Formats: sequence, structure tokens, C-alpha cells
Amino acid sequence: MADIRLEHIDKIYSGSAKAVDDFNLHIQDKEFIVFVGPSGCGKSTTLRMIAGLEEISGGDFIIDGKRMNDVAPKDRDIAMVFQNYALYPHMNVFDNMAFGLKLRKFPKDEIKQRVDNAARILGLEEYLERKPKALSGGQRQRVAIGRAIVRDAKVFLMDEPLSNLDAKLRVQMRKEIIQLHKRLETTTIYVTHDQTEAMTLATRIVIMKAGLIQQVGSPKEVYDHPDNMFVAGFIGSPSMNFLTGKLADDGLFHVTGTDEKFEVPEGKMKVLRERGYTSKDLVLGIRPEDIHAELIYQDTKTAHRFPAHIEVSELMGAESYLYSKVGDQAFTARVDSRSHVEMGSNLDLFFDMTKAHFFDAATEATIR
Amino acid sequence: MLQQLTSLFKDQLSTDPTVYCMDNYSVYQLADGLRFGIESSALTGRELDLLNLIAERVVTSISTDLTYWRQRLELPVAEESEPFRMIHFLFDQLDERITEDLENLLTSFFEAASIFVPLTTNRLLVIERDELVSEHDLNDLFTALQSDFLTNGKVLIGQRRSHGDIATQFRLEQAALRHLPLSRVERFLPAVTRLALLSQPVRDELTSRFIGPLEPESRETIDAFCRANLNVSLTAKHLFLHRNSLQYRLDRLTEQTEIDIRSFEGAAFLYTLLLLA
Repeated sequence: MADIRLEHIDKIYSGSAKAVDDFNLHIQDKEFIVFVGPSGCGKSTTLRMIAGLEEISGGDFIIDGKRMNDVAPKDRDIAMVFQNYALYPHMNVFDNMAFGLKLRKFPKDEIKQRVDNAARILGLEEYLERKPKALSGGQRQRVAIGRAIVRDAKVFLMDEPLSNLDAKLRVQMRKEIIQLHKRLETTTIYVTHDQTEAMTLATRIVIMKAGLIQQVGSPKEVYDHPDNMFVAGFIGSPSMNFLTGKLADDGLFHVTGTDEKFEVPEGKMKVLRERGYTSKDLVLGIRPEDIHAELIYQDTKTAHRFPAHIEVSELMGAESYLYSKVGDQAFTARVDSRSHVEMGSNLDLFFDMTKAHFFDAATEATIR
Repeated sequence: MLQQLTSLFKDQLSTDPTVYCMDNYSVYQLADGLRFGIESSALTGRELDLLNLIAERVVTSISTDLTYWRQRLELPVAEESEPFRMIHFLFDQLDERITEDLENLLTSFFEAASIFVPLTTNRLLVIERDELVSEHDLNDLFTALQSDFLTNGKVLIGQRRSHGDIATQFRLEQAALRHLPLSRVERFLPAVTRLALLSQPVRDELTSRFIGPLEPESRETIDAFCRANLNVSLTAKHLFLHRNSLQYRLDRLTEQTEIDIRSFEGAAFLYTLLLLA
């Protein structure tokens, strides 16, 4: 059982701005929480404060009702997996996995039982006698995870554990981590800068920027209902498209610097008017998959037809990315690749306005 | 800090290694590396707690070997006739039980001929002889032990010396270790170059050790070689030398300084000192 509370957590390095600013989060038992954000956003610092590798400058860190700020790292019952495999080069796989238990003075029989069990779960049984140098990258990372599993700690902390692996192996290990969490049900906090990892692994995602939490929610929540432009742009690949403009008195969204006018669905229009956004600067956000090329959309009332000049067309296999512009504002459409689109061609694209998001141009917050 | 402590403990405090290395002293090290000992009988439990907050407790040696090495590293000059390289470890949050486990782990990692010297409860030194562990392996070891001991720290890989004054080398490398950022495994040359830029006394010490004894011809070689982007042919042309003559000069320079000027880090170190001299 591990119920974790981070209340008003701050991290201030001497002489610099807050690296983590008023971080609040309640992590329930068995959750898989992913901290995601660009470099320097404070995600690893927060993880290291939880581990005890960094001092907490302010706030309370609580596990199962007990304040842990001043508890020594080794007494927090936490196991951590680092980015670069973290194996002792002079020990074989068995000894690498057993070392943490030997340190904690576990009896030999129990050490063997736990290591054998972890090796079976991770498919490492035949490699127990090998040294790290004789293992592949994926196998080494599995041993590093095994070193954490054998501890049977209350909480697993993982700091970008897959970023040193090649793309194919990363996908495979991602699947293995999901299966492992399902099996062990240990509360896990995972740090990554990769939004795909965050979306596929998390029960809840914590999106951070410049030391501040931007949004906390399930992958679907943050994808479908982002709180602001940063979250909307960070989650999803290719990123959400943003077009600046104004909601005019005629009830249409006028794209800045063009004659292009988008009809806004009634429900969204009502919200924008009620919030007083008529004639104010707005940002329209639309995901690439909500811009369609199929002619079937031309009869859809809520789809806005835009005659696009396709500057670049990228065939990805099952789908194509089409790059175009409204005035001088670029956008990407993700369309079915059955009908091939040539670069430099003209094509009608249909913006599904029921899926559009509107943001305040000044605060970048979602208008709801 | 030391002044205040001296006024408090008077004659019971000593900064003389020949005095405080005796068994009846508790020895501490301040953040700037300065060591002092206080007669154990003069310290109450509360004073011990306070001292542990402001200074690192120096491990009280029990074996003869350890006493020998600890004294040797503190002597003003201690010539070493055999090759050596020191690896300096500094950790946060280690208690004595962990220090023992850590010592066992490091003993199994390093070659048998290596000498293991616990300095304070947080500070450990390994003196390697002929067989040197690789920087890559040290990096792996450091990260693995961070995850097992859940402690932050830093490691400095000292300079490989064929012989020479180990006590002076020790003091220089400990000073470089102090200025390293946490969570780093750093090599001697970048660490000491950084230190030379930060500290005037160290800069003076380094320039007098590495640049002072060089003939004008050698200084000219460092300057020309760095200006020519470490290109031997171009340097030889600029100095109106035959390529082989320049190679000979570079070899001699490496022999004199024990710094490989053909490596980028070695060249950057010598060039920085030359500019600062």
C-alpha cells in the first residue's frame, strides 16, 4: 500500500528561480503516474525529491500519512530505476539483482527466491550468470528494472528508463512495463519527456512546464480536454494546430491576416459569447486528425471547407501528413493515405469544427 | 569557523596532524578541506551533534596501513616512487553502517592492488596502482550505487602519475572535487581547469607547477600547437620545424608535465594555464 501526497512542494536552488513551484498531487495506491514535460520543467527534480536524492525546499511529502521530508532515502521504502541501466559492471546479473537485498541483510534463501522470481517475470533466467557487458541494451534495462522489483518496495520511481534504447526496443519495453505494473500493482512514478510514453503507460499524466504543473488527468482527459495551449500542443503527435483570429459580430471566427472565416458550432459560440470573447483575440486549436480530406465531409454542416495548397505531403504508411497554411499560419492535417496527395497540389480540406478548441490569446487558457 | 572553535576549545583543539592523528582526538574536516582535531574527552554528546552539522567527521583509522596512508596524504610533501591514480568519492547522507557496505562494494570493484582509504564518513579515496578501471565502468558503478544506497554524490578520477608528490596531488584533487557539481563523475583535467579559473591560489600553484619549469621553447610549442587546432603539420610549419622535431618536443612536453597535449583536454588545460601565467 502506498498513498502518496505531495503538498505545496517547492525546490529552490540557491540564487536561482524555483525549479519546482507549489507542486500538489495525491497519488493513490497502485496508480501509474507519469511526469511529462520538456527539459528543465522540474519533473526529474520532483522525482529526486521523492527519492530523497534532492532536499525538499518547502511543503510536505507524505507516504501513508507519514511525513517523509526528513526520513533518510534508504528508509523511505522506495526503489529507483535510472536512465542509464545502473548495473555494477563487475557483478553478474544475479549479484546485480541481489545486491540491494544483501545490503538490507535479507537471508540468502529469500534473496535467491526473490531474484529467481524477478528473473522469471522479466525473462532473464538464462542470463543470471552473465556480466552486464555480455547483455544487450534491452536485457540490461530489464536487469535494472529487476533490481528494483526484488526490493518489493512500496513505490517504484523510474527516471526516463527507456530513453537510452533504440525506437523498436523502446516500444517493446513499454509494453513490458505495462504488463509488469498490471502484475505487481506497485505504485509507480515515471518521468519522461516523451508524450507517447506518457500516453501509453499512465493511469494519470502530470504535465509540467517551468516548475509548474499545467494539468493532471488521465491520458484521454488531457488529450481531449487540455487546460491550456501548452498541454494541447505538448500532448499529441503531430501537435495540435493553432490559428489566431477573432470572433466577429457575424458569429464567425476570422483568421488573422486573411479573409478566411470559420463557422463556429452553436454550443461553442454560446460559451465564447457568454465569456465575453466577441471581438477579442482568440486562438483556435484543432488536432491534425480532425482535418479531413475525404469528400464525404463536404456535406457535413459543422465541417469548414478550406481550399488548401499542399506544400509538403508525407506518406507515413496507413496515413499521410499534409502541410499547408491559412494565410501565413501553418497547419498539419493527418489524413487517410489511400488517396495519394502530390506535393504542390491544391485540395479541399475539411476542418471538423465540433472538435475545435478555443484559447484565450493572452493567458493561453482554454475557454470553457 | 575555526577561530570560533579554537576560542571555545583552546588547547584541546589542534590543527597539527602529528597531534590530532593520536587516538584520543576526534578529527573533523571543514568544507574548505581544513582538518582539525579536538580531544575526545572535551566533547559532550550535544557538541558532537553540533560538530557533525558543521563539519565532516574523519574516519578514525584502526589498521596500521590506514594510519600510514592517512598520515602520508597529510604530509606537506610525500614522494611516491610507484605509479598511482587516485579516485575520490564524496557522498551525501552516509551513515557508518552504509560506509562499511560501500567499502566492501568498492573493494570488490577495484583491482586487488588498490588501496582503500576512508577519509571522513562521507569521503572515500581509492589509490590505484598499475591496473586502472575505465571511466565507463566507474560511471556505471556510481549510478548503480546511487540507486542502491539512494544517496547523491560525486566522483573525481585523479591524474595518472608515474611517480611524484602524492600529498600535493591529493590536496589539489580534493579541492577540485569540492567544486564539482553533484551527481557527476569527472576526469582530472576538466575538473582542475575549472578550479584554476575559480581560485587564484590554485591558479598560482598550477602555473608554477606546470608552466613555471618549462623552457620558453616549450611554452612557444603549447601556444602554437593550440593556435593550429592541435594540427602537427600546421604547427611545424608555423614554428619552422621539421614535423619529427615537433613530435619530439610534444613527447618531451608530455614527459615533463605528465599531461598529454595531443588530447583536447590536455591542450585546453595547458593553454589555459599559459594564458593565466
